[in-house]
Amino acid sequence: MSGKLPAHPLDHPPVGWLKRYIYSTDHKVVALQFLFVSLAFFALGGLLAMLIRWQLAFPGDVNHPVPILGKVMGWADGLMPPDFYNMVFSMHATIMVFFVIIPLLVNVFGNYLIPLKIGARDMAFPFMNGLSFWMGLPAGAIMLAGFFLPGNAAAAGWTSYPPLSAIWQNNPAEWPIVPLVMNFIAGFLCFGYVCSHCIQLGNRFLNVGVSILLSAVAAAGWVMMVQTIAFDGQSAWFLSLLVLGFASLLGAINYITTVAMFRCPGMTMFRLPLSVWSLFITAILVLLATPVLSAAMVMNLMDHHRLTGFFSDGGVPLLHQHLFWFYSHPAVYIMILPAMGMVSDILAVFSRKPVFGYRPMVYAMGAIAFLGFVVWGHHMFQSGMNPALGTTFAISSMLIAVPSGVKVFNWLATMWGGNIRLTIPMCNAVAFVSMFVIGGLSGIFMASTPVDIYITDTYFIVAHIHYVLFGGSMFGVFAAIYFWYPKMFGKMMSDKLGYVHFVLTFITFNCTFFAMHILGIGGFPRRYADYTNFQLWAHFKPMNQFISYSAFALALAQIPFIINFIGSWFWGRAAPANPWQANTLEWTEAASPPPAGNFIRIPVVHRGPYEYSSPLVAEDWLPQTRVLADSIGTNG
Amino acid sequence: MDRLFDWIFWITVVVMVLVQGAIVVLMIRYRHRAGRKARYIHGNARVEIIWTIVPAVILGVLTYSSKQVWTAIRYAPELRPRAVKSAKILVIGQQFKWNIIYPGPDGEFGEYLVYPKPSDLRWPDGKRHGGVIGPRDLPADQVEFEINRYISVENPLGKVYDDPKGKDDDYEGAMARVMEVPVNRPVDVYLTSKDVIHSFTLPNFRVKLDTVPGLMGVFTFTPTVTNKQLGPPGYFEIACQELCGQGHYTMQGRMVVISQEEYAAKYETHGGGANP
Ligand code: HEM
Ligand SMILES: [Cu+2]
Ligand SMILES: [Cu+2]
Repeated sequence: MSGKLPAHPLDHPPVGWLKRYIYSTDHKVVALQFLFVSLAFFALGGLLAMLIRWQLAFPGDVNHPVPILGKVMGWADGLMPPDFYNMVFSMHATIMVFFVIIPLLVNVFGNYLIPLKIGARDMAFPFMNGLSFWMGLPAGAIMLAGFFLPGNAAAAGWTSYPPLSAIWQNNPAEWPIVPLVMNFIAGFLCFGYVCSHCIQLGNRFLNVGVSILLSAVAAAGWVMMVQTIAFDGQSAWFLSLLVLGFASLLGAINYITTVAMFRCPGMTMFRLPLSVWSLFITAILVLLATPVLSAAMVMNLMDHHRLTGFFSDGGVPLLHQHLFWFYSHPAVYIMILPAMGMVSDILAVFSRKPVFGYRPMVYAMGAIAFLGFVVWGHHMFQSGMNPALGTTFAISSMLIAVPSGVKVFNWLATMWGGNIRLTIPMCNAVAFVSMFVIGGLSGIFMASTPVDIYITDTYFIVAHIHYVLFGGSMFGVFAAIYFWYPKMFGKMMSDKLGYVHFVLTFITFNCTFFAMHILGIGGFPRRYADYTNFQLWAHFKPMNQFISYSAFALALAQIPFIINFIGSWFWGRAAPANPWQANTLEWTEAASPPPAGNFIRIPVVHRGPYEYSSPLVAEDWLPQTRVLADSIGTNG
Repeated sequence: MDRLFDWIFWITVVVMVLVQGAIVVLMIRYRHRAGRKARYIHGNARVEIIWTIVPAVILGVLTYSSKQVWTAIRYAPELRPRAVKSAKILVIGQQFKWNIIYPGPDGEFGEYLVYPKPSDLRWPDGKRHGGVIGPRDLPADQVEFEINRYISVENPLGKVYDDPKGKDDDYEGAMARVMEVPVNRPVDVYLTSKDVIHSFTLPNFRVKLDTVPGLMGVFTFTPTVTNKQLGPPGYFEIACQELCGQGHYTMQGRMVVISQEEYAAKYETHGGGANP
């Protein structure tokens, strides 16, 4: 079926419970599966952040032992050992980047929005699409396995620079039972997905029986292989990202093909909503950048097993950094472009205005994507690479600030002259713009090579990444969840809880992370388990405590969101098809939630996505599909 | 460089205040009112060009001035007039301490960080270890032990003893000692590492560079006042700012700025180690 549009939803063969809700190939189900898993990882990453903050607020303070964990782990005086601290922030960042932000933005919203917004019934390759989720599970299980190994999980930072990352954390040995079982289950589920779609022996019971047997055997083999390759936390880290890379490639190929081939009649490229544009461009970034990371992971694994010496043991340590950042700088745009696209949509809907400068917005994203590939060296200004390269990368990095600025000005101009409805998605979207500006401006400091000498590897960097990743991407994700929740679940979320969540998050977020700029300007180093032995920084302790209390409050501020997210599903008001009076296809052509196959009829598009307050009609919205009497479609 | 920082600081502060102010004003000024319709505008090429060009020009200027300062810092040894004699210091990072080596009267360092491989015929220092002249003659089960002993005990810095340039180096007390530098003279700090990547940082002097095994980096700074004149605590702190393992945060060092005469007497009239 892949590659061809079914003419009508009823073309979908009737499927059982398992294939409808678990091993589904429906893009919406896959999206929600990604959503639940990523949010669970978000909670885990957040807890790790609390540990970081506890340590920095009370370094070596016997009166403040780490709650619960201190006892469970049996630490002396309940104090966190420094190598454990290294592990905590390494895993915090790894999880947030690779298992929270990227899947949330790319896989959740890429899956959910692309087919619905371009008028397609599903992805181009639905089976591969499902596989990208089910392959992600073993990747997550391998990463988590690190926590149960004798030497603990990876502790060389989320950048894992060799030779530090080449050091063994424990000698190769059998894994303990917990990670074995965990990985077996993940492998079993993944192979089960493949079997459930590939094994067709004619008889239902025969199919299921053979599938279970095959999956169990395959999963057992998988676990044996994994425990040999990933014998310590660091090798688990490398292997996990390798597997995860494959999973995201399967997704990216799908998104690109779907946008290129499956647009409904009338949906030209320049009538695509900006969210789809952003996801399309992001998918291209994923496709081009991820193989480089995978290659680096394979090289690191071989180094780790002492088979080769690419980076350590006489190899070239900087090579890893080049490869890593050649992936990871594009990856930071993978982590922000979809949020930019979705925020553009949301700003237009709630300003009741067309997006200001649609084409410049598209070109700006294209420019960011292209330049994103030539700025990786700005992460290496002080790495010891040839100083001439420093200037080269400073130029490209300053250049990339220009299209980012263009986007900000266009967002402001979109609001200008609007009729702004401050709904919860809108509040979060405006917060995105505001926080992204701060994160973008602090980036200019770091792009200035001499200034970067001083602030690199200080809390200035930590402030910056959190303004772009939490203030930017995460507010974007919140905006998108509040905006599309009614479509996803067919229920409205509670406004009251939504405002409480937004206001508290916004305030505590800024208290937590703005103060980090000040630490950074004081030279306060990042990745330090304890700073009190330095005269330079010991006096920052009260500031650190303030940051930590704000961070705890920030964590608590997520509780209304959790209540809202789960509660609205059960008790929320039923959502109409188009609660926001939006123009795009998912609202005007599909029910909430959309059925399998999405649309009764494949829609036909007559105009761009942002015809709000058009003079052609009395209302302040004009759906993409509406046929006007004297219709010469106006282009957006 | 601090001037550059200030410039960027004020530019960004102004931009930030303007943009955040604009957001608030827009939200209030254009808040929803029943019966009103928003302005129907798709864009404007003129303003797009303005807000592309203006930031581009500002950033261009910043890039240019960054380049000037960067070149002055990172290429200082090449750009300096020959007549100015800098003080050279070799710093070897090692988990979790800094090794400080002075070049002695000739102003040149010998070779360091040369370690034996199991296949070597002779030990790099030319002496006998483990009763044999080279690791290759050792029984298989002793090779690793002897090599590790060489690296950690016998010759931790991996010094090549017959290198003529290194004969007068002051290296013997290198491990974790206080680094002393002369006032009002450019100091070239050469950086490398024995094990993993570290980052040698002098926060007070705004200098920092990673120490990478297998690479030699260099940066320059010129202290303008001695610690005697400054008073307590009498030293500047050295920190490591690249994660290097469990003891990363303990990798603290000290640097003291002393007078030129004192420096010359201590480190430039006679070699260390070999001929005290
Ligand atoms: C509750 C909110 C959060 C708090 C309190 C928090 C706290 C921290 C702290 C204190 C560090 C610095 C560790 C160190 O280098 O010493 C850090 C690092 C980092 N965090 Fe978060 N974080 C939060 C949420 C997030 C989110 C949502 C992301 C999303 C991507 C994120 C991504 C990162 C990254 C990439 C690093 C860099 C770590 C490194 O370079 O090793 N954090 N976080
Ligand atoms: Cu970057
Ligand atoms: Cu260190």
